[in-house]
Amino acid sequence: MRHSPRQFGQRVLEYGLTFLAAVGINFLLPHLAPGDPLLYVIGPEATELGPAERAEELARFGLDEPLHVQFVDYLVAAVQGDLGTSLTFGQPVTEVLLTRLPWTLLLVGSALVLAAVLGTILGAISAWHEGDRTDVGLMGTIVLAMSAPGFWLGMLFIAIFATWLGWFPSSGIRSADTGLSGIGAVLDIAWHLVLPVTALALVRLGSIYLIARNTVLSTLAEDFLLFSRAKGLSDRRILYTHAVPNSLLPVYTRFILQMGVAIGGAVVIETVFSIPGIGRVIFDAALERDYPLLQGAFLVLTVTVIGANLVADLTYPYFDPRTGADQREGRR
Amino acid sequence: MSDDGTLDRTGRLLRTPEGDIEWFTVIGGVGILLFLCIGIFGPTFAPYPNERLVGEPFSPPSADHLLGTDDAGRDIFSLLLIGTRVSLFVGLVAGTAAILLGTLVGVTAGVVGGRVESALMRVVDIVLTIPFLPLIIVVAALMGPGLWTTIGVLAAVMWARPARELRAEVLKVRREDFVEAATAMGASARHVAVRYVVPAVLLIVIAQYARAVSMSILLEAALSFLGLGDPTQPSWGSILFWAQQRSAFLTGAWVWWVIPPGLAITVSVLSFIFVTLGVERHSGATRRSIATDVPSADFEILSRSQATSVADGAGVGADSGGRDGDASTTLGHEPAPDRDSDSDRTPVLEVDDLTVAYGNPGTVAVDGVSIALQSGETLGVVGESGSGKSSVALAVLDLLREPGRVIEGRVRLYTDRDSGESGGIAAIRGDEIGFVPQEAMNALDPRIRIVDQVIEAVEVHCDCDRSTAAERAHEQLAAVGLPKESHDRYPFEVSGGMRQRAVVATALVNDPSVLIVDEPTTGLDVVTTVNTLELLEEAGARRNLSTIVVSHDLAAVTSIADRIAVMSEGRILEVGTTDRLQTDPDHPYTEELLACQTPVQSADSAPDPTPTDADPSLVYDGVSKRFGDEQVLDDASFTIDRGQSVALLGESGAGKSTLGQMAVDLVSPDEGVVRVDGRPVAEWSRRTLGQAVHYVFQDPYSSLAPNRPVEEVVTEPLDIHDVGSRDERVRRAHDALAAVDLTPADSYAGRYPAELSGGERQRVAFARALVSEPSLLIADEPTSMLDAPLQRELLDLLYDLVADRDITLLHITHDIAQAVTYAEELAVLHEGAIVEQGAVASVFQSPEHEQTRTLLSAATELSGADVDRLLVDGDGN
Repeated sequence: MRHSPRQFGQRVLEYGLTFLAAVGINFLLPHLAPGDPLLYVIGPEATELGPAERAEELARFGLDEPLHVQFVDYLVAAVQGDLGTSLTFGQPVTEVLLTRLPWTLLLVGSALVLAAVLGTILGAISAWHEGDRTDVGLMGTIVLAMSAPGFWLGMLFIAIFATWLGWFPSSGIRSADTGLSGIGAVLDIAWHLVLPVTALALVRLGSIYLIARNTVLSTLAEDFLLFSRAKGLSDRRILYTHAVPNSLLPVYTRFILQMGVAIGGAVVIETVFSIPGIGRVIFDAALERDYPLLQGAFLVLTVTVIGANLVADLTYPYFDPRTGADQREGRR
Repeated sequence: MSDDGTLDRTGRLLRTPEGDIEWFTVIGGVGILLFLCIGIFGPTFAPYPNERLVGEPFSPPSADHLLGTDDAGRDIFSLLLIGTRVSLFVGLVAGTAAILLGTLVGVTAGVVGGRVESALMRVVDIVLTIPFLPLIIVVAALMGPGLWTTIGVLAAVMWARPARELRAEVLKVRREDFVEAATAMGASARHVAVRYVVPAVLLIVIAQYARAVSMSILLEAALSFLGLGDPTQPSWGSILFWAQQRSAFLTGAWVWWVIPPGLAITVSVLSFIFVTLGVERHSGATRRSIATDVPSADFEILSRSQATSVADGAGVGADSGGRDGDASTTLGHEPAPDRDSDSDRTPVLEVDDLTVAYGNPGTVAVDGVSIALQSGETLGVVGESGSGKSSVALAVLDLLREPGRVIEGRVRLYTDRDSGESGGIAAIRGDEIGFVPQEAMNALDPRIRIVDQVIEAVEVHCDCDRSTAAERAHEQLAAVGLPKESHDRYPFEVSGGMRQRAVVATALVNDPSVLIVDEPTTGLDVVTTVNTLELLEEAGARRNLSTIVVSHDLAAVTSIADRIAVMSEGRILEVGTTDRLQTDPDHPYTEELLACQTPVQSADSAPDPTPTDADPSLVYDGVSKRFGDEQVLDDASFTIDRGQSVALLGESGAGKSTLGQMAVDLVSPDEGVVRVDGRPVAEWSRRTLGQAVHYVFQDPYSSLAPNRPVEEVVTEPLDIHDVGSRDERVRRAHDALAAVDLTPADSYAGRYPAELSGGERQRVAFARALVSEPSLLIADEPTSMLDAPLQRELLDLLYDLVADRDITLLHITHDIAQAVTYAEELAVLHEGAIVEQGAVASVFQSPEHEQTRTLLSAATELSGADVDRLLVDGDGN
């Protein structure tokens, strides 16, 4: 759909609403949790405070204000980048997160792109060979991979490719002691990413593959493909120049919808492979009960997903040159 | 076309629409049952309960410990059995909660619509954006890990996707013609929901439920793996958590410690996914992919010199002897004699004994057909739908799709062009033989510019560079009358007629010696039809092209063909020159076809409309309507008096259906008022309006609900209006079936629409119209989907019924001949307004508006009648 300025504005509004909802959830959760809210802000010390100190602390963090005032304060602070102070690191949450966000983006981004490209191609091939051995074999393998827990696959990868075969490192994002720079450093990171990205991609592959297969299959039944045959085009050309491009829209839509799940999947993968990304932070913070960090990380993740959705939405028109607006279907 | 899969009874869960076993669902179901059993009974049979230190830590599998022990000496096999119950419990409960909520929201949004729908979908979108696992982790950390906390959060995030899918399905069902028909008859939202929505969504709910459970199992496993699961309720994920914590990788123990729990998760999830796949596989259109290879005819390319003049055999059906054993009747399998073959002409394409069947063993669609296309001629292949003519064209080009296949046959092309000695038909398609498919306006790739698609056709067959190819493409597009500005446009940016021309250009761009055209005029209005035929004629003349035109429209074919082959039920009955066939046909079937051509004559039998002072039946008063960018109706006004029958004419897309639908409140005008029996439509209650006005839809294949027998389809208006007892409704239905000549009514009453032909289905639609005894009937192109002979029969029936019962009729049609022959009055819709209205005779003799004149002359040109002569005779001479 080509976006008119009005539609663009509407989209931004929708995303703003989603952002507000995410912030809202983030804000509400500690208040719904059992126990002393101060616990979630300054940690276990809260239990040791005397009444006067307690009142002081409550005032300092604005916890004595009515809920809606607190929410606004929280929102304002969040927009300005103030997400509180991490209990375990002693640094502002924002600082801790910003150094780690790039790794998550790298991991998830690579995995999703790999899953999307591979999923679409394999789905197209499956659709073309519908019903025969190629199709059944592909579908069986991919659905099997889709059913396996990501962290388990990760563990197996480490056991086989790292520990046993020694081809790849088993953890971390960089080799510790070498003073690599430039291309060397990049390659080193890439080498460390191979296993985690593959594991994450395998898990996400299935969903894209299935929708690509379905869509290409119905596109292959369309009249205009019959005409491509009549023009004398080769099978390959028909599939990749005509069938696939016309099938991308639903695949793209699913791709967008998946981002939330994919980012969630990063949590376990980063944990298994010890990658210092936001997912890992969430895990560690949960174990340590570092609430400000935990909430901040969740918010950053959600905003990332919203941002990715927004970007994807804006590039949507490139997949469909037709003007949007209700086209009268089937009305003579 | 409606989808049978989702609306059929639930028994379809385990079978494909074709009746085969759906293995995905069956295998998945077995797997689920297996795990359920283990989950329920497993822990009881576990050899060792959880806590006890019962063996050497890290010991490998043995008779005592089937899967060895973990670092604390616990028996892994027992852990696995106990974990099954926990993992499945969470999965099933969370899945159930998610589905209940999701179904409620999705169906409500779909059925109620409006603001409620928008609000609900907004919430769905927001929930879908939030990353599940991080949220669960945060909640688990804040609330403390616990089984019910996990289940609660899982349900709270997983309802959104089913809600979205279900709403989409509900909307799809609501848009089906047969649901709109029910709404037009006055059905309440509840009636629609119970009768149509629920059966349709049932299968989707099952698929989504299986998906939700599989996701829950995976998410719970991840949570436990991260150490945030309920420590008192160890699941499969917990086992892996301990494996990770205790660095099982450093010992060989990982093999029996890590692999089994992971496998358990994988296989259980796989079972649920299989069920989802099995159910979802068959919801959706079941049209066939072009990719599947299908047995084809033997194809030979020979040089021109090898073509022998065919003095006696042209068009002769080579008798393969005894196929059906009875050659004595005139309709039997005998060679169709061609009295008119010109022995000087050489054949350029020969089809020999072609037999095509659909399904296995299926039905024979083409039965031993032989045709010879002579050099330079235009050969028409004419027959009703189902006669096999399109299958012949497709089979020749090896473009048949499953379930069609060639059983036997040979095709020979005589050409001197040096294109592809090897590669058979595939190499010369688009090069030596051009093809214009049915509904050519849909034959272009919507995402590629028109000229680029023509260039592609050139580049595939010639070794030229891009600019040469582009030149030829532009040249050819111009030659078919496509204006220069349109060449670089996308298909959706130009009209259907233009798109069709572009397709013709593509077929001709490589200078083929043979052109095959399939149904070039179906679905087109009269003006475009004439233009298209002219185009084909020009193309043929200009380059000594030999053309085969396949069509059911005899009028169209006779205007451009030199010879015509008449087909019926898979066989060629007669072949001859156009002139001879028209004046002296051999076969009775040919005579029948010719008789159906309704020449445009003034209907001198139309009685004068009886003046009445009652409220007019239907009034359109300054009606305007806009769809998106298009102003479809612009201040349209006209009146239909009680008891009248009025034909509403206009080009396709003119807005005729929209006007009709306003009378039953399926569409509301932006401006203006529509009055039925003097009262505005908006003031009628849905139910009483449905009783007074009945709308008959165009497409009999989609306007009858597929999942109910004919009797219920016909009684539906009475069910909606709650009239009379059950027995009375059945009686009235049977009476109606008899009135439309569907006898014996008892036999038809029990059949399903899928078992009936198009003509029979439309009769059922008529019966349904009669049963509610409306005072006004709106028939929207009631016969355009049917063949010519059938059209006449059904229109005779319609007008008889309407006259007998004194029903007012609005007959929407693009077919002038029909309108003029049957109706009392004509109204012409053009550019959003009614430009002419009046009694047929007067409109025909002295049309006031330009558009009327255009339509009339196009129609008369098509039927070959002499316009002047007709006008003079219009008075009934």
